[in-house]
Amino acid sequence: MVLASLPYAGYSQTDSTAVDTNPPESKERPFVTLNPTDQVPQVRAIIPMDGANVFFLNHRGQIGAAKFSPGLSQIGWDLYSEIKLNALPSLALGPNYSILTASENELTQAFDSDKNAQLDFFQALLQDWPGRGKGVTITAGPVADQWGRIILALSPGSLNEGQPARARLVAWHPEHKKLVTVTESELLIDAFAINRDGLVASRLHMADYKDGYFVSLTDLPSFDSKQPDASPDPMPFTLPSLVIPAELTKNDPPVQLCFAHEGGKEKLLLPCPKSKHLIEILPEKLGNIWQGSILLRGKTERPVESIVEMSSGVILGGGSEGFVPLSGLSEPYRIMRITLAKDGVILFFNRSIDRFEGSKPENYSVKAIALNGGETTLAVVPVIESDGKAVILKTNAISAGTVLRVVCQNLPSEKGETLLSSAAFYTVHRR
Amino acid sequence: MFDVIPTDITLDSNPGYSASPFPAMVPATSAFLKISVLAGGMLLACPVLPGQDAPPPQATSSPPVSIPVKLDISRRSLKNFLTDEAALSPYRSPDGTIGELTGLFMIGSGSVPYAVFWDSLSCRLLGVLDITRPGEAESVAPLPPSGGDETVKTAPSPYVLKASGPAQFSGPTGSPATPVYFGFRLIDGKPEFLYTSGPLAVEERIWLEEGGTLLKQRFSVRDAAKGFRILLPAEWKERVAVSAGTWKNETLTVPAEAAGEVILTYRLTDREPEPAVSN
Repeated sequence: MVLASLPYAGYSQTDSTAVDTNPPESKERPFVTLNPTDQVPQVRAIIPMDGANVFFLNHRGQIGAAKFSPGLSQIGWDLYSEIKLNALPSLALGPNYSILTASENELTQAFDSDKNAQLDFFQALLQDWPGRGKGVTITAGPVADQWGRIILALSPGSLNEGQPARARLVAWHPEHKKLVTVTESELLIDAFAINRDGLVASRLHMADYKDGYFVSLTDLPSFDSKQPDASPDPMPFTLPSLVIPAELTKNDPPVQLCFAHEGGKEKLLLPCPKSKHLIEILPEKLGNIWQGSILLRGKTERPVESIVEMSSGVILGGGSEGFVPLSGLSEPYRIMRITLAKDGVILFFNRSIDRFEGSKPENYSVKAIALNGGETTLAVVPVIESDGKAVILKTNAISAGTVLRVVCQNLPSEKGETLLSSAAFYTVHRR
Repeated sequence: MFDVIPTDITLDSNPGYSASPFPAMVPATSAFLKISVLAGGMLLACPVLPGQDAPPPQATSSPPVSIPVKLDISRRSLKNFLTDEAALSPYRSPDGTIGELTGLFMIGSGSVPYAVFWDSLSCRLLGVLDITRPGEAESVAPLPPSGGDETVKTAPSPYVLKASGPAQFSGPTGSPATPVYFGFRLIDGKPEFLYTSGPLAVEERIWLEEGGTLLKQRFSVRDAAKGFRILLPAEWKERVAVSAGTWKNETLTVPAEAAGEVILTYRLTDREPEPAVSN
């Protein structure tokens, strides 16, 4: 038996928050008793408390707590609540180890009010929003932003007669009554994540498009605590920024998004639970436009539905067959990044490539697929960098508004390893 | 403002978010809890007022020991099974369509053949399903060939209880109010729903006893200086015994003195048929 202290992290509150009318509370920390079990939790969403403990949502809608070693070996888990919530696959942490969940029709905060490490009080924080009476529902969230707000995605709805129906990301702040729209979108938002700088990555729903999956990157306007109820002006509009080609996911839609940090760079990870493919996006900002590389990062042994970064570069996944550590593993030979050069593109690999094969132009195929249709095959001249880990593919001019599809047909590593995926992509909005 | 960087904190900060229709209630969630605990466990005498029906059989002040059933509580969306127009009213959209039950609580137990439904939109007990009976679509027997005696036998509804009529809760004047759901909590594993109905702050606890054959519904109402009323569907009345209050038709009037606790006990099993008289 392991007695796992739950150093449940929450948002610490300042003196400006609500007056505490309760009697002084015990400063003892609660413990969840983690009994040895062979059972595997079916994980739909994870929220880290710190580098070793997480809360998770299982497939039945119950909230659990799990503890891990520094190397992400699972030490144990137990339920934090046996109530089966009708919750969307996302969790947010509130104060005092409370947990926020959302269903289509309610934002709920669950408390352990008697400090026995079981949730016992479920408060409906939000049940009304613009368009609620016309069928607008919550489609994703809750996600906390860096200003302590809870962000939810609402389904498309027209707020006023004659206006086009738009999906919305709305912000709810505990100290302010009004729900504030922070971005609008023409497409329904299936899932989203927010990084520490306020960058929102959203998976946009486009049921009729079968060749890929749209991700948008939108900078949230700063929160002005002096004008907490003010809507941003101009209102940011969420446009499809990046396309994840279906061939990279085996036609399996990515379900969730997670920002993670490796090698000094911020990445976006998206799991595809059925194909077990893990997609990696390296966002780059040019002016006010986001674009970037779209790569296959790995194929997991078990399905992954949810990903969190426990601490910088330490990544944990979870799915129907339990938790899956996603960092500290031996990495397959793969394309790590694509960048645009003046006269073509540069491919970066995590191992030195076979120079003989790498120098052959016929081993590369670069196509520019216009975002509005049509494609062009570009002639390439490869130049291998001295360390063997980068190849410059000199091409004709690459125009903006295209998705570059780069395929390395026969490009083993110096040691003869086969590429994890011969294809990699780059969405170009601006040169 | 909150610090979003998780830190290893001790449990001495304030309770949760304070946006709530219950300004005094939410920051003081625990205080709210304590009030109800103090109010619990007390059965208050209820006088019979002139003009009212005689009181129904009441739960005695020292009821036999009954073992609560360990409950399984889930929230889910379900096709709307209500059939009564007044009960359906909160679910009717502006275009007239009937919406799903999206805020539904389902309360049951692996050992019990009943599922109890309580909904957070209308803040009422919507029904009790006997899961051993065939569904309503299946229970409609096909019409016999014409020409014969067309006595159609229909199986009983699988719903032991099904809500009908307007909102169950009203103030002392009987004026209806749109209820507003606040949340729920667990008291010894039993769900207690918290909502307001006009000026009344209501705590409604639901659980099963006697192997699941009895459904208990406990009301505790704050700010009910003049008492309150509960309107039950006519079909429910024959199954219910109450711990306090007086009936007039289907309306139970609870005086202020008993507002702290009223328990309704529903018999979920059908009565045993009267034994045949023989000489």
